[in-house]
Amino acid sequence: MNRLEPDATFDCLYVIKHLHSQREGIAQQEVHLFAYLSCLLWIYCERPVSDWGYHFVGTEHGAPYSPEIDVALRELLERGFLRRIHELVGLTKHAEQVLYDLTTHSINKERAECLEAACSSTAAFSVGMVSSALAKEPELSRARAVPSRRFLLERAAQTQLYDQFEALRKALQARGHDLRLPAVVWLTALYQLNKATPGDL
Amino acid sequence: MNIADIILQIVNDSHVPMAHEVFGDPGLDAVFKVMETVKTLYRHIELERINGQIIVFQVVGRDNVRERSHPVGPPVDFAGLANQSLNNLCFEIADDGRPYIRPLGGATPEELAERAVVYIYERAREEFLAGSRRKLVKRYDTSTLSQFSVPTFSSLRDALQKFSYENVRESTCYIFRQAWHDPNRLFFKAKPESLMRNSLVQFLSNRLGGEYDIWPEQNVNEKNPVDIRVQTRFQVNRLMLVEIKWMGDSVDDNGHVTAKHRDNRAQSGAGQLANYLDEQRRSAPSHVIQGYYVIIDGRRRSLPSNATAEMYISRENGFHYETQEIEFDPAPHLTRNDFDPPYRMFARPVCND
Repeated sequence: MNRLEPDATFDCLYVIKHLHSQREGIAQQEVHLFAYLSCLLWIYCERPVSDWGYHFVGTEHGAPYSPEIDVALRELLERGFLRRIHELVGLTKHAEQVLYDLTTHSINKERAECLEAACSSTAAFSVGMVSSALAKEPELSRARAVPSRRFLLERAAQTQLYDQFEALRKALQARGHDLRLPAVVWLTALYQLNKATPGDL
Repeated sequence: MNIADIILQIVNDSHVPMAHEVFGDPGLDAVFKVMETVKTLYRHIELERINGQIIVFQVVGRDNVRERSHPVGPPVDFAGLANQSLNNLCFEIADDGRPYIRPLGGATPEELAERAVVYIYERAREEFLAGSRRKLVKRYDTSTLSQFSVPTFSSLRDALQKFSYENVRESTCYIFRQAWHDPNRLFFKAKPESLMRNSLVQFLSNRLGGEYDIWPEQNVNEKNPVDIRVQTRFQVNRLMLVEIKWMGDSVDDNGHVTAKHRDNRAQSGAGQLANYLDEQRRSAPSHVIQGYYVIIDGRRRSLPSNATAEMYISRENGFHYETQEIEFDPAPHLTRNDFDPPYRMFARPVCND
């Protein structure tokens, strides 16, 4: 049996629970995507990426992937916390109770805020749009341009990301601490960055 | 424009920052709750069947118990609205977070917005009101009527079937519509392939879940690009090739016919995709490869030899080919298991009877 990384396990449960309320089930790859977006929001809050608890690599296709999330998903399925819905996954009742208990722990408060904001972005966009937008994020677009598996969010590579977050903080000055606002504004900006938008009304 | 300018523009011009600026954190809660409710509603109803307006609102900042909303009747079950004839819907999201039918009475949305975040939909135009301010919602998917009605598909097959119905059949997609030479959709423009491809690329990018990557025009050998290559992001040995061909007549700017594509064209496209699949298998033997053949069918019966400004077609001639399937010989989808049955998508004309 593999060792579960506690933060990755919490994040899996949280993302699946919050996205599942809108859809029949969640693709496992989408858990990696929203966990990564949550981690970026963590950095936006000027917290060190090393405190996130686990890391991500960029796949050859420019997608975020976390080995710890992957292990957590497999173990949660094996241990009966997740159920398969065709090729997708959802939480079991037992897992919902466990997640509820974990969410009340103060130690998870700050990461839950990031996860909540990441998942809430699907109120404004489809999952596909979130994915398309995030592909323009500096780290993932670099991973896509140079297709090889490498660690994301390493210190040397973060400058462009920090510049974007600085611009975001400046534009949202004195707008409170709710991360849903910067999440939606940033994703909208990334989506617009390289898209023609002929449907603008 | 750099990203800092884009961010500033979004903060000034879009509805989520507006709701927060007007009502603070309760405004942000309300605008998210309204968007979530609207998304849920649109999963159950067909926007094309709605007459009039749809209004969804949540009052912000009710401080004391007396001011709290007291819903009359049960909360709305959106599933029950699926097959009803619907006019001018108005829902309030109450303090319990659930939507209730709430006739506006004599009030206007502007009056409501003094203390609420209000969403209004009318004929593909969406806006949010908060306080004395209002913002249009930008629609990023040109084939939908609402930014909040973009579904997520978990398979390419489901997405292609929906593309046929939603984008092609009535040419509802803004990009796809540009492929037509005339408003009655009788002739395509010369070389409409790239517009058709762009329409499908946009559709797939927005609607396939986060597990897929969509790459337009990817080379499969030295000379020939396949129209769209779809890869799963984590199962790196899965590869889907989408080839698009069109049937019908195309004309140049002067109305002269430049191409007439019929069954032979569809047949040659099937052979082309089969060859691509073989080449890919040779160059990437460890990949699981599947081919998807999309045929945009704009055939019309008895078209004039040139396109003119006042062209019309009868229903009988315009829809003649709608149910006429193409007989392939050879038929790669019947002889090999890496070739899906072709997705023929008939694009309807506008008829004069």
